[in-house]
Amino acid sequence: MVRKGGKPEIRSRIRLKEVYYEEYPIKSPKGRKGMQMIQFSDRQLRIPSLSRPVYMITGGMSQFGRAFPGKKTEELCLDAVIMAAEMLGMDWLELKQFIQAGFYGHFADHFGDQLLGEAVIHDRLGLDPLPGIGIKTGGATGGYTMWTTMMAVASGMIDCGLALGWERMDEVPTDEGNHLIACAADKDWETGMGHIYAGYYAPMSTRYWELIAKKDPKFRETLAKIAVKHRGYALNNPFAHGGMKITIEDVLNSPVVSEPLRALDCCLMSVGSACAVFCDETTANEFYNRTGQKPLRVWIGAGTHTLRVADRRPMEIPLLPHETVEMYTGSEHRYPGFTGFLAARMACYFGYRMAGVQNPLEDFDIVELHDAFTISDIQTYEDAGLRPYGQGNDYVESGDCYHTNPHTGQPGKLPSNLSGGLIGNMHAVGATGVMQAVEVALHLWNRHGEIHGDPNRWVAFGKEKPNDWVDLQVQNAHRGMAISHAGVGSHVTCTVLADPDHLFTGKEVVA
Amino acid sequence: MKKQLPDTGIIVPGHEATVTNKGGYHFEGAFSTIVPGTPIMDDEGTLRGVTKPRYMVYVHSYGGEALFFEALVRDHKLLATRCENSKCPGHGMMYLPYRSHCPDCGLKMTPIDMTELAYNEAKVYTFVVTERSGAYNTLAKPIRFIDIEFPGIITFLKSYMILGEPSIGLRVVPVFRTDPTFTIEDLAWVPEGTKPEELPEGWTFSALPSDDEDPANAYEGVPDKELVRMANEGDLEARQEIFFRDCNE
Repeated sequence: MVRKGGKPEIRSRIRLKEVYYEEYPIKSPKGRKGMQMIQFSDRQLRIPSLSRPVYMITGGMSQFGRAFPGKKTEELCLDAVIMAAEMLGMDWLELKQFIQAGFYGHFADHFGDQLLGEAVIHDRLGLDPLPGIGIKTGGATGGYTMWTTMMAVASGMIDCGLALGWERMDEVPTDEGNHLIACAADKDWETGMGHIYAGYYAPMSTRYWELIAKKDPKFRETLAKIAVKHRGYALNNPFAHGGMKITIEDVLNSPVVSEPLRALDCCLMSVGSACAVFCDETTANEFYNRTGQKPLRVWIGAGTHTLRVADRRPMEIPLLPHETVEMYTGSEHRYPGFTGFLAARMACYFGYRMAGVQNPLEDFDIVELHDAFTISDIQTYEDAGLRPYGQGNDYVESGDCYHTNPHTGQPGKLPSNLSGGLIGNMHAVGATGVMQAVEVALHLWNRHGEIHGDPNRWVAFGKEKPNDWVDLQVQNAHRGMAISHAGVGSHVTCTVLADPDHLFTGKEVVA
Repeated sequence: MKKQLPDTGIIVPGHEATVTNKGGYHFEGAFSTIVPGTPIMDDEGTLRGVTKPRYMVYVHSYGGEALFFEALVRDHKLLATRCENSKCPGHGMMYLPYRSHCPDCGLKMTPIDMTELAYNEAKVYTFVVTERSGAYNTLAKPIRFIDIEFPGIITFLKSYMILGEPSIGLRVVPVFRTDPTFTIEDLAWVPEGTKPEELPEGWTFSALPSDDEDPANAYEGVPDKELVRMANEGDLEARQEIFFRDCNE
């Protein structure tokens, strides 16, 4: 090729040498097609263990909406903790007597123009001068906030802690909001390009859409079914801000955001708050004896991956307890490439083994997954092992993911996102992971219908309870899981919850 | 040294950052300018908030990555880095985006000119075309985002195309902004086969390398021992040559 360009005016400081890839030896024998893989020591991959069991005793949520000009963030946070207290038949003053530290998840300081927002909330909840700390891990902030709280309780440092998450995304115009979210990409290598997160996130779905889904119109319909399902379930959730009765055609005809994703494939941008209270066994028993609400065992696995998606290096697929090497032998796809979320896989890798989960599809009764986009929801089915890599769409097509399987009319094998998820319920970033855990817990407490069906709650939120409101309580739900996921996959947690009388069949890892 | 804020008509003093002889930054001019705000009322006249506008200038230090941006802007070259620590499991892995230190062993990596590799081998790994952007965007819309793969590079590079339509597997070649902004936006891509006259104004291909730029020839016949001595004295090229000989054994 003939190239033309001005002779460089200034020589580079180093003498440069032309290097071609043929010169590189491949030292690792493991790599497919000779590609060098990253590796980890057994010590690094040790399954985390809790020094003592940790329990979730209650949780609460504010209403979620696009904007709340009439409420400050601290008022929304109070709404959440007051609900958590009411779940136990207490008021906040009473519940607060148990709490020894506050753990606060709030992703974007610059959205609210308030550094140390967690200190503001800690004060407004009346928890000063007890210890308090802020946690920030993007979209997984809620999950990591609970992870931190769990560790504090498990270590014996505290007996009872509050995990509270929130986000305020209504105080800047949308294009400024796009910029602020894009600041969560690499500032020198990515943010300047478009200042819009879709530019960093959507190429991953392009890769999945073209290479795995092979641009199949049926697969495109599967995506639409997820949007229909989540917006539909949200109609039964008084907290939700995105409930809609829509059809597959509505999704397919909504405006293109970036092929193959349409507007209705995308999650909401919300304001709101959610909280969970974790404690040790002694305190859990005290709560149980007093309130009758059964404490739930909690284990949280956490993973990370490169903030710049472009920095992903290849590795072997970390296998979940029910997977085998043979399942992926001969796979032509680089792992994780852009089609899987390694952080989600690692969170499940650790979380399942901590709790003794052997097969997520069999062991769980209810899950809440991070459906930022319909296509990333499918990717998460694979990362979480609900289906093998490359076959995530079958979780929808089989009917397993529904409250009621549309093919059989029987309960779905493992219903997901009955809250409406991020697409139908909310995505108030710092609160999202906590909301998911609370929604799962409501099923395990058998209180989902009571909380979502309470007519007074609908009125308090300025809404009319639908005449065709459906109780989505999963019958006999004892074990559940929630995936809290940061944008391009920089941080992910896998929160496993279980009724202590119905633990997992596998062996729990104990310290 | 005054300038107008975009789309506001507000004139603010300009700004300049320099490096002092002690090595710190020295800021002069308008790095922060206050702009009056307005109250927000609802229909019933209840106060619902207030706007708090401001104009603020950030500084980004390029630190150990400065070399990449210098080569990009001044030489129209693409630099990658490679780990040369033979004890490291990542020995020989090459990185673009340029990172100064190896993610495995934490030691400083060696800059490698990969311009020719990019011209000969770069392919679109994945892409997206977006009609929308965020505040402060400077790229023409729709933006054609691409992630690029290069044989031998263990990572990908996120960038954008200024000509043609992206598709997975498309061969692309780098182009460089002639009036640079000293940011990664000074690098863009066009389909292989694009002629120089087809490039939009303000963009150019990199110059072809000349023979005297290839220092590999300088070490032909130099014994290993001598190379080690030169490397120990800080000769970067000698270090590279040792690395290549190790690799080829």
